[in-house]
Amino acid sequence: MFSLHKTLGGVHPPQCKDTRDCPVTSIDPPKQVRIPLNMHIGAPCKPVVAEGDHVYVGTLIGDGEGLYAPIHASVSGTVTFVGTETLPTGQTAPVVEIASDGKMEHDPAIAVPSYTTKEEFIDCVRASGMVGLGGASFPTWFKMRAPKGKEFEYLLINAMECEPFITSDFRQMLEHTERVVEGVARCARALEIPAACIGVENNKPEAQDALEAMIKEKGYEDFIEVLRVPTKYPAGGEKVVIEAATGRQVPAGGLPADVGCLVMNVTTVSMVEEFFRSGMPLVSKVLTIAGDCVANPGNYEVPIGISVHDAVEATGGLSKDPRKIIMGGPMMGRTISDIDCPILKANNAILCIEDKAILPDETPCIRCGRCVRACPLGLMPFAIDAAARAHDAVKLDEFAVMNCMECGSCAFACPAHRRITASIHEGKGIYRSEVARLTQPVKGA
Amino acid sequence: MNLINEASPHFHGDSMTFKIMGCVCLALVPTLIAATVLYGLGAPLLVLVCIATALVCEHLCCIIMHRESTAGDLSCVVTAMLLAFTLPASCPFGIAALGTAFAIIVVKMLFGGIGTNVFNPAVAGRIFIMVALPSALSSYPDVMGKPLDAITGATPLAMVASGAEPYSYMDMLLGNHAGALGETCIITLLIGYIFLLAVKVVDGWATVPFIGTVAIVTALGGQDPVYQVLSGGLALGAFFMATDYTTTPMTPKGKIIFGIGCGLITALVRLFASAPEGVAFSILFMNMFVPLIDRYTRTQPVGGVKNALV
Repeated sequence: MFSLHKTLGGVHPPQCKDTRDCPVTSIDPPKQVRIPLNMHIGAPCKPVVAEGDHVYVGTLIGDGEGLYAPIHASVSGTVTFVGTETLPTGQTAPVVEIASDGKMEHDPAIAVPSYTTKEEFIDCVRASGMVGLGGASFPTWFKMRAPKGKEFEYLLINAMECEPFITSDFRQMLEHTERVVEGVARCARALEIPAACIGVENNKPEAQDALEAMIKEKGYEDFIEVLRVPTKYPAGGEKVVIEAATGRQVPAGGLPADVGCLVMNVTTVSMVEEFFRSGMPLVSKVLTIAGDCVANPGNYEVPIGISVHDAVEATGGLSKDPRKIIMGGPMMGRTISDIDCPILKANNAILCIEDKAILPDETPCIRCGRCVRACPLGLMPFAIDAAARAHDAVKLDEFAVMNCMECGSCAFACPAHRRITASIHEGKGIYRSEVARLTQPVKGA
Repeated sequence: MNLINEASPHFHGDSMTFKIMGCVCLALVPTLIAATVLYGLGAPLLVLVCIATALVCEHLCCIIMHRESTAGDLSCVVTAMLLAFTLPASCPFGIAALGTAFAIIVVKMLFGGIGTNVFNPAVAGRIFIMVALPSALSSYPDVMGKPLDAITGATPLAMVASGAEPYSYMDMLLGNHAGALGETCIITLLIGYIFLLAVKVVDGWATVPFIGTVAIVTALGGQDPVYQVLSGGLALGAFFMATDYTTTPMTPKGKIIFGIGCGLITALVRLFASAPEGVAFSILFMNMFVPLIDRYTRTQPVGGVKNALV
């Protein structure tokens, strides 16, 4: 069904996947969790609980409408605070704080969901609170609805995990192989997608073999396949996955649905399947907690809303003071300056690093072309960088600034250590505001 | 806890400008050794004079321009070495220093320094000396060990022009003839170039079409293509100057166009012009077209472009 297609560019950062053999372990429930209600792309949820309410694990605490994903309590206990707060990320959002009673009691109202039609299935996925767990945090149910006139031909499961350090998806595939494969089968059947493929990088042969064996055991060979992909960052970029598996290119400004593809992260699929088995919505996340400052690096299952500090402490704490704490991988993750920052649905790693935390200074571009060769999307990063620094919106447009997914390959490859990716990110803002300025009606006209 | 907050990526590769330039310097060392053997201690001394001048000029320019000094990135050392390689070992130090100063101050720094200069500074410096002080380049010392009365010899291309008996291919490969100090020994230039290919500092997108075009066009013009490829500054130019990052196109397609253009001009100059040497002129001429070539050889974004402003 699927064959490997060539993709452009890419880089080979050191893998640092030292936690690959660390099985997922649970941590003791934290004393409190603070759950922001904007953990997804779209409108923030509105709180549906009040201070003093008793909640269980899985109790709905935030709901919304439009593009959103509902949010559930991740511990049992008492709601101690409901209000709007400025998060360490700089965003302002409604937050629900829950003091844990330490019992982690499940909500008695939780029932195994059932569905008969595609629409009912998508409604169930919405109720699960699922978002893209690879980091995009786009509401999964919304993505499953093919736009009018479009049909999904392929279900692509993104199990590349191309970011250095992170091994949580790898553990998911090894420890819950059956759940992953059944999840893929369930999604493909319910959404009437004829062919599915699980793309796994070649640095995870155990996962590739386990998945293939499970597909065979279940007799799903006729519609699910494992695609073995050469190890190259960013093999797991959505557009890169689509091109590698189907040879199709998502048109600029378009969606995967435009080329008949639905792309889901492997952990997302696994958690969707878990929801249809137990009825438990998304309330916990497996994180790879690693880096040279972490005492016991490994994979840990933590309740959503736990602070970075509590999560790291629960695993044995820090061995030395880090210079940088990164939420996610080193290529696309964001640094935090406040270790009380809560863990969100789409977080998959906490990296505490001291070694190489201070990057070399920027020097002038020497036009070597390494960024152009590294770009997986065929862009010319050095030119976008120059246009962004010159605030030249027309040039930014010419060099397709909005095509960039900010994977960081260009900045990684740059011998002048220019912060190309950061500059492109700013360039997008410059471009957007210029487009807005030109499209807004002239006053008095 | 004092945490750094900055944008991703938080991993950077190991490559650095000074490492890249250091590799180029290293790649030129075998030829420098060969030049010492062929033309005596004057050769390395001339190179040292050029390097010292370049470092001082670049550092002073940066001070005057109120910017962080870029002398440490070794790019000016590459320029100085390449410029010295195009001069005869007998070139007076003062003239070599003047040419280097022109290359660094006028051709490089006045155009914005590393990464923004239009012309290859080494080539432009050499042309400057050729035009302003032609006496310095009027005679080329022959290799050591030849009879004293033959202290200056004819360069291979001059011999072809005068119709004299040409050197053997082996002498051409080893540099066993009169010429600029770093242009004659093809073997060591090739070793340096292969080293740069191996460490992925350069590629062959411009070099191969450059040399290929010279061979084909001179052959069509009735000359011995092998002799043409081995003579003059072609090897130095195609290996080290047509592969300069700043003054050549960025994409493979652009580099091929650049290489063919250089080859064509070199061959035409050699066949029809009065000056036997065309490599320097061809590179300088094609340097001018780099922005234009770059404009028409851009990469194609995956998924196309959706423009709103252009």
